[in-house]
Amino acid sequence: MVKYIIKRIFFAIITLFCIATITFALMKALPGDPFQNPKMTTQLRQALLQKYGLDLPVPQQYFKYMNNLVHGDLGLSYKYVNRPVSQVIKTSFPKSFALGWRAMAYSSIFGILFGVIAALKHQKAPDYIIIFISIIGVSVPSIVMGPLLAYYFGVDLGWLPVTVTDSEVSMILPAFTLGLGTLAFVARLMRSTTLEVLSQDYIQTAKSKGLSTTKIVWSHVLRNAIMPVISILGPSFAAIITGSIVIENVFAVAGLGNYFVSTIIAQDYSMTMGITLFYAILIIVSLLLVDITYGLIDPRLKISSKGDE
Amino acid sequence: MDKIEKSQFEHVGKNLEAAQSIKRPSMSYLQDAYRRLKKNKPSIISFWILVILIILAIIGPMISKGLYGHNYRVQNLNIQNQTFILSNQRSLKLSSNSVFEYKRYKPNLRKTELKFKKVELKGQSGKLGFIVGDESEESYQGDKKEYKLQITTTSSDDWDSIINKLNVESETLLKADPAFRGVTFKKSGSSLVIETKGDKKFNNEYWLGTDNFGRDLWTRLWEGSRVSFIIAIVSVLFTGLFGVVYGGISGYIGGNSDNIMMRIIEILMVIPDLLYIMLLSIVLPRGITTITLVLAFTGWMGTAILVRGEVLRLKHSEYVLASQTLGADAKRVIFKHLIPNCMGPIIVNMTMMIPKMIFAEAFLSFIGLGVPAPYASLGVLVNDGAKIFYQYPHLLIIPSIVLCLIMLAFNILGDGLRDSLDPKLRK
Repeated sequence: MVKYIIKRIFFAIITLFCIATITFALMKALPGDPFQNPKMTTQLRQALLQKYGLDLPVPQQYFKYMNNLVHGDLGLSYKYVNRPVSQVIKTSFPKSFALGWRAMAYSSIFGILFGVIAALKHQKAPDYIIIFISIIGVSVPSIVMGPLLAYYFGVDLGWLPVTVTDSEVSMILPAFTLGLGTLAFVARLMRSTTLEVLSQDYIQTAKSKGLSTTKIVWSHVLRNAIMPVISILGPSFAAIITGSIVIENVFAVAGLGNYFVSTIIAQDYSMTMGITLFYAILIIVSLLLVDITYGLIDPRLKISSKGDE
Repeated sequence: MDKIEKSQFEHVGKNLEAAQSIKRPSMSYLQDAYRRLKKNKPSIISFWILVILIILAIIGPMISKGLYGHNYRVQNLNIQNQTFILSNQRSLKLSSNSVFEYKRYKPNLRKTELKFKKVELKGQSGKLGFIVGDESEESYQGDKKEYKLQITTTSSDDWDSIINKLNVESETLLKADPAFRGVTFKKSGSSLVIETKGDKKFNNEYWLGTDNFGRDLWTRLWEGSRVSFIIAIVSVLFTGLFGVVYGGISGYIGGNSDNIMMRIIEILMVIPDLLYIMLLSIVLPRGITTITLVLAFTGWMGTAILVRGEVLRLKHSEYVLASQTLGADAKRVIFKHLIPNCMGPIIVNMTMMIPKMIFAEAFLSFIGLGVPAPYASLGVLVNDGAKIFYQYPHLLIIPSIVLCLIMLAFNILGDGLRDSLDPKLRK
């Protein structure tokens, strides 16, 4: 078990190193000089280059960059004076996180619930309804879903606020839209794994010894069917992070995703790269955590790793 | 029971010819797969939807260019935001009201109809006025006229008399200038509905309307679908090609090279797609080629892993051994024997990748790294539409329908192909 975790962490560190190197290389490959301006005097330019550490030779810059990264410094904006990436993340990430964890929580809980219901009512009305919802969830992109929901529930019916404030009610629409894809994916996966588990012999045994359906589902079906779902929680988390970039713009949330898009429009490349790097680290760490959790709770993995030792 | 004599029977002997003859026509793998796919109705429907969409993407812009000379880039600011049904109804605005109270006020999208919900009379004398038409906004009513419709009420007026007064006032305005076209007032239950009159006709020249720069939506829609299809299909072909070669080599050679090649993929897989997409599209010049390249670069790892798995499964088959014994080299074994035999999963994988690529392209357009400005793509159209969705919903809904149809059709077709290409599911 320990060996498995150490191996995972080792790979994650190598990946992070690769990502940081790629980001640095691409930053150097950007066409032009960030401070190229014909009006600028040579002295001012020199001062700016010195401030951002761009006057050093490239390998030295690379070591400085890596060193800063290890200490949690993701770099500075070249466009706006004294605006470090970490500062921006500190102010705007909490808003994104507030939305993200809600979306993640509701979509995985309801996805599992819907999947189990669909499998239990296999080829009956609830099954078809849930399949239909999940097809819609997979094939209607959030760029389309967001404005439509905002219009019908926010403007036309007037039930829910469209812009996001700190209140819980205002989070409903964006969190719902954000989680819809994951909900559909989890429900589909849960449905197929539950169907598989339901056809096993031990379910037959449980039925014949007189257990109630609730009991069978709770202690036999769910425990076995949920494992593949847990393994996709990491990728779903990544999908939600990517999705939040869209959703935050549709619903005007002042989160990191919104800021991210504005940096691209403003051509503030060092900022864009810094935030992308942050997203990458976030995704990798969450994948690692999911991997470790999976290893901890899957008894099969425990046994096989014991055999290794 | 009678005894059956042996002499009653005649020995027929072996009929070698009949044993060798094949009663039914022999079927190749693909024929068999096609036969099973045909039985899957949703897949066949999806397939034809895709064929129709692809044909439209090719000839759609040609039709509108041939008939009216539209193209996707020429702007005409006089005809902004037309819908597919033109109407010359004037817009309507409440200018003064000291007569009634209301809970909710809901204009329709072009403000040609106002709906006041839960209205109540204040029971005092006052003024009620509307402004019909808008000098600055109205772009296709033929003129830019503005009218004022105003009445005064007394405390003894009830709803019937107020509506009567409004109708009389509207008649007077209509008599003075027929271009006013009239207004209707309706009171049903507790809500008051006011609508301007006008003619509606189908938009003959711009079939789906125009966007906010006055460009024909029909032309842009199919031009955009074409770009999206090209980006998705070309990038998927690239991922397929590279993935097959990489996975095939890795699986067939095995050993340490397989180990190293798989570790490389593992690391590349963990790096989020977003990062590549972002970084590459910032560094490379913007354009269709860049997007195709970026999408191809993010997608090949999945295909490679799939092909490697299939090759590992097949490489100990007898026919591979036979081929090796006859002296075939690795290249021949991989590309002549192994790859054709794992074509099924590869085709399914590629079909399922296409909607993902189209979605990724839409996402890139959304964050401003998509197809550059005058060009259209489905992502660009949907994003432009989403910006002015509240005023002109057709600009979002029409491209969205096409986008969703493509995604849905490819997903269903992919599912169907998976079922029919898998020999294990043969009945």
